[in-house]
Amino acid sequence: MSVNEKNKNFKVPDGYFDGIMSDMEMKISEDEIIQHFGKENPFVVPENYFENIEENLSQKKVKSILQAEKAVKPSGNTNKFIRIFVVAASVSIFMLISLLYINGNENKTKISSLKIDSTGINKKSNLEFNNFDDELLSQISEEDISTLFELDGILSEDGNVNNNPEEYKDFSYEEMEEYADEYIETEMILAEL
Amino acid sequence: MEELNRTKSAFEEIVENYKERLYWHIRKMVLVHEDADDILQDTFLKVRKNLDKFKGDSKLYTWLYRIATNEAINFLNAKKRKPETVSLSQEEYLFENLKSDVYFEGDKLQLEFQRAILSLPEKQRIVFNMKYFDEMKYSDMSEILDTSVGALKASYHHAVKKIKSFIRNEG
Repeated sequence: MSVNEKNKNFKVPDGYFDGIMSDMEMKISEDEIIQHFGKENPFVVPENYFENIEENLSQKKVKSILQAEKAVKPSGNTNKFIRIFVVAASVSIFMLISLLYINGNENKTKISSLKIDSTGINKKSNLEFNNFDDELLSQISEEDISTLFELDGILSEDGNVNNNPEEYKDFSYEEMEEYADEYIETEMILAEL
Repeated sequence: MEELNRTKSAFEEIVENYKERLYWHIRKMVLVHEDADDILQDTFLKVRKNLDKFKGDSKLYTWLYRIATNEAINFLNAKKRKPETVSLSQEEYLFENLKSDVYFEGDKLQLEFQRAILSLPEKQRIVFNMKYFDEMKYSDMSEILDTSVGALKASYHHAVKKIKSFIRNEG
């Protein structure tokens, strides 16, 4: 009776006998490592660390919730920057439309009229290029700026539409002028072309 | 409300029963106490958040180890990308940190052992720590690391051979 037949009621994992030699070699090498370095844990923790884990955990949880809230809510400066950007973009678009309209009607350097109905502006003007930016800015009334700020109101701090006129006090005429300058420079280059 | 309380008490039980085991598993991966503490807390926060999603397809402890392992790996990968660590390899960075860690009380030989372990590729290092120090079963490691038992055995075998040759070269 063969050894296998004698033990037919017992089973071993597939390939078990093939891997014995390699497992033994590994065991020997492992023992060598244990003899050389041992298995002690050289790491330690601060006193009472494990006892205070729960407490630290709740502190960290509160902190992470606060951080998440902070990340969602933009800071005052960021919010202001976004609003400035929106106003600048609005002014640029407004002026671009104005000039395209003017250039479409009269292909010359002297601008004789400015008429844009969509923003509620309906004015006649006579602008010269030598004092172009000041002249053009003077054409934007307080009422028109309010209209632009109403667009800006889309991005209020709480994410809702903000129509509070008090908010608009943050923006000076000088700031508006600065945004317009950028656009005017581009337009001057285009006009020269 | 009742379910919320049940989840809360289950979570507290998990923290109580597994805090030390998970801590040591993480600590051996990142070596420094402060980092291990951070990762352990992140691990538990993730466990708390996903506890209701645990369906019991795997053992609770392999699920916890899996989260902890992933958190530690993510931490190490994030460290690799930080400018202050770019000039050093991950192993060098970890070893330098270990040398200055006040919560490492090993002698010169222990420090050498950690250096030898750090010289292993990341996966081999994890497998080596789990097998050598924690004496974890390959079947459990297989669930945690989502790797076949055969591949894990091969990994451990390679790791042991490399450490052995490290000893010979050093000696």
